[in-house]
Amino acid sequence: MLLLTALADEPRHGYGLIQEIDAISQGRVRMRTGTLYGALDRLLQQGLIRVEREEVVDGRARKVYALAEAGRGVLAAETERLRAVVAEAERRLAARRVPVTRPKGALA
Amino acid sequence: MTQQDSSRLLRWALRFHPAAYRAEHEAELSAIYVQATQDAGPLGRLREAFDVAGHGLRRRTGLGSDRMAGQVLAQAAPLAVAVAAGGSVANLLWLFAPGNKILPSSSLPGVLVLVNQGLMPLLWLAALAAVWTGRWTVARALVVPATLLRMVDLPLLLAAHPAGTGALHPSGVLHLAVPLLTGAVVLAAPRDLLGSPGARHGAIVGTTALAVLLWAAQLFNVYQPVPLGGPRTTQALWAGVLAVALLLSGRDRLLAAGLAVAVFPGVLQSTVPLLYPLSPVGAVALLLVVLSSAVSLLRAHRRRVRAAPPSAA
Repeated sequence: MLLLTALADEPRHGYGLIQEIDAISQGRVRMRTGTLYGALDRLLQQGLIRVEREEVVDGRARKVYALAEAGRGVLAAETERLRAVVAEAERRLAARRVPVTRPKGALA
Repeated sequence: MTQQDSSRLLRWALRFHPAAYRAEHEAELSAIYVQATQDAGPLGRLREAFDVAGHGLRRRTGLGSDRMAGQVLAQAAPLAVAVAAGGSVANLLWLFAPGNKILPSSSLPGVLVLVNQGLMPLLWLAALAAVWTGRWTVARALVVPATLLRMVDLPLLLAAHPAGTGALHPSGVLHLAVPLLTGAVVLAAPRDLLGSPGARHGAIVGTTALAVLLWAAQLFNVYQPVPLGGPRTTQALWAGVLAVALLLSGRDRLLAAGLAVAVFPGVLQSTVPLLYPLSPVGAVALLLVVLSSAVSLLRAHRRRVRAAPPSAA
């Protein structure tokens, strides 16, 4: 989910993904190289992401990954599911926040 | 750690990858590693290199998160910790069961056995708490000493009871194999699939309860032997659980497959003593495991055949 989110706005290379995930999770998730590569292998195999292009920067070859159509669909569905959960949580919290108050001495 | 040491470390880590994979991805993996470790200290570089090596080992053994085996391991890892936590508590209680001949004496090795048996549940329960809260780095760090302590158990018992060495020999291999298997399941599971346990909380609670129930049945059997099938009938329950999990497992039922993997060390620990020498209960347990494994393998083979694209002929 974090990886798909990191690719939602623009294609990114490996280290760019590590930095983006760190930012999205507010420093809670620090993905290591091998773990990132394992996840990329899986998402590529599932067809959720694709290799956008390969480039050479400072003499080092790197791949740039992008969200595939299937990945965009999965991310949209998961976002919708989370939005529904958040809306329900907010509704229930708001319902609890407003207690029913009766004027003193009043009996319905 | 110099830049040269760091490069050497990376080259060592990359050697774990299959040659073809390394040829294709080495440049990119190196680039990510170099960028990820540019501000890291020696420990950070070492951890990053271990992570790269772990990825290579998973690729080599087919346990990557893109493979079904890796996905089953990811389901099994939290459950294996739950089973081990239940088992370590049961082990501690077992020492005080009536008629237990390996209750440690007051010698130094005996005291060390007691300390070891007391530490193990603490470590496993802490690992279980870490799994519950999704702190897998902590959980895995705790599993390593917990596994080692469990392996040290045997030499300590042998030192505490030199006279009883003969009685302990048959279970010696199990004392090493069972913790090693549990530790391997937890450490080999692909890290990117071990996120927040969220939906797995129910499975973790269920497996812990199941493990406690199975160990409690065995312990209860010491006090009040079950009349049906002899005093060791309850040990065969583990084989029954494995058989059910295997029969329920499948491509879309990874949790059941994960449970089968998680309880396997427990099955070994409980069932092997029933086979040496072979008892009727042991034969039934063995039959259960063999039949359910055969059905599961046959189903997997059929799925593979169905999924294979038709040949050009």
